[in-house]
Amino acid sequence: MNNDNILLTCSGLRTYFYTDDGVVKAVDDVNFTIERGKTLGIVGESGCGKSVTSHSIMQLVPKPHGKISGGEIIYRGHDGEEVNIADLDPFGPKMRQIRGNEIAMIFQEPMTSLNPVYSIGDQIIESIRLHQKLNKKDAKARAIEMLKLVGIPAAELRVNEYPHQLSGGMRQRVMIAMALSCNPKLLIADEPTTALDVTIEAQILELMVDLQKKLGMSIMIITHDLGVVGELADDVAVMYAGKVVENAAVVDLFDRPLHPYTQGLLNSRPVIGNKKRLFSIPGNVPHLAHLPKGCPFAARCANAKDICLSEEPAVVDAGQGHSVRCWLHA
Amino acid sequence: MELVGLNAWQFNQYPHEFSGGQRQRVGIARALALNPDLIICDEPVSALDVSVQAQILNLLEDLQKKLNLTYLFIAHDLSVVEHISDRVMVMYLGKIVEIAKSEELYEQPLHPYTEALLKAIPASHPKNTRKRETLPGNLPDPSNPPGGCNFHLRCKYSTDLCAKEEPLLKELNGSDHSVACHYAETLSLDGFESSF
Ligand SMILES: Nc1ncnc2c1ncn2[C@@H]1O[C@H](COP(=O)(O)OP(=O)(O)OP(=O)(O)O)[C@@H](O)[C@H]1O
Ligand SMILES: [Mg+2]
Repeated sequence: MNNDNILLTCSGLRTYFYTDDGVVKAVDDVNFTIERGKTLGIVGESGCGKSVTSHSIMQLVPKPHGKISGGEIIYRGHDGEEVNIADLDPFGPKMRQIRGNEIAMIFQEPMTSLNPVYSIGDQIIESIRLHQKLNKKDAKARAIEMLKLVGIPAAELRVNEYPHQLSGGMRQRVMIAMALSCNPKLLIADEPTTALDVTIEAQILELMVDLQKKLGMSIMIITHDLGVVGELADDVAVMYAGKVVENAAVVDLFDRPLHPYTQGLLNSRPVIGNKKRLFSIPGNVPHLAHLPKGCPFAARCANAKDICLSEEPAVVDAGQGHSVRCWLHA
Repeated sequence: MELVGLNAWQFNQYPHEFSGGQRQRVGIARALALNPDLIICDEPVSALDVSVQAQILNLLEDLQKKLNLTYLFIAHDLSVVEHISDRVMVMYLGKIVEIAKSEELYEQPLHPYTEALLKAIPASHPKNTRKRETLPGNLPDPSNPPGGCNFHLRCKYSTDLCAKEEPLLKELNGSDHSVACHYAETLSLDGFESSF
């Protein structure tokens, strides 16, 4: 692959939390790349480190307990300049310029990221002026333009409304408008549609795809909905217990899932018209501060061999950009 | 606790020490402790990933058989609803718009909103290019609903009658299938089609 096409590369990323219970290895040797104009989907069990991965890219890991303890996050800006985000001071000028201007994020809980006491317009204007040198009037015009872009009707009036006056779907659109107001190169969307009904979910996803085409940005979408991944993503990273256990182009992943955890996920989906008892992966995820020896999935894996219980598997190249961390394929 | 697949030694653990799926099991154990006949499950799996979701849905089905329970199951995910339900009720803006046996509702919806929901279900494989249809407009303000049928502003079949008169929920020829639409008997709507 041509390096110019790659916007962001995570290699060997480790983000740990130092707690009373021990070291929580929330992100432990994570590798993936995001191409320009393309979408990477991240899926995996609750608590496997998806949000912490995205917070690491934004340098928003909560201090003092949390820390990027190793690895690199290489970001290639428009001028081809390479920056290792993992090395930047979270509060320094370079990181501030990247956060918001170059990489924007839609957070998992929209309610908590909108301030109830300011109008949505003021909040978008503030975020625009924080990152771009625009006067108040131009910033307001830009805010209205963004609200129109995300399909908010009567944007000129809505701009003065408060978050509680909007429906869940509208609030999510406002979040997207805010994230896009600075023309980011990468949009990180953490479970952007989980709280919405399917018709609104479909609208929001369609909107994201439209904007991606219009603005040429890359998207990293975190979700546990495999349907959403199938629809939106070009590439998928499957995470389990702080690690990427499988990485592939989306069609290849659905056609040829190699990791037993990925296979289990795909088989656990209810299928309309088939009332048979659902397949489910037995057992629970291990505690990230007390990981077992060997492969973290071994205890739940029907095909585990002796080596799976004693040694951690390395990443295996399965061809066509498809890789898997599993002894069964070594 | 053992009934819901937890261990007795976990009795003294605190909520933050459980995973999302385990916490959901605790919630089910708490509901069962009172020996109810009916359990209302409000979005019991929507925060869970599919593998944990499958565990909880199987558990709910096992308990239903063992204890002869009735569930009122509220959810967004239409494949989950179809899997768990015998009958399905669709609501729009605080009103019931359709009730039917699960298979019938998915195969032969009679309300345009139900049809729209079924068309918005994501495809199960990325090669399936069935495009999700989206509804125009937004959910109207519940405190200030539009006149007539609540759905008429977003409905592609609506007529003047729909703007004027509110349709009542009525059963269609003794079929155990009720719908609130002026044109339920004349429209021919599409059911769910999966091409993979
Ligand atoms: N501030 C913190 N202190 C200690 N541990 C934390 C902290 N934040 C997250 N963790 C732990 O890091 C792990 C990864 O959390 P993360 O929020 O990334 O999960 P996730 O994959 O986004 O899950 P979900 O699907 O539920 O959103 C979890 O085990 C969590 O308990
Ligand atoms: Mg998360």
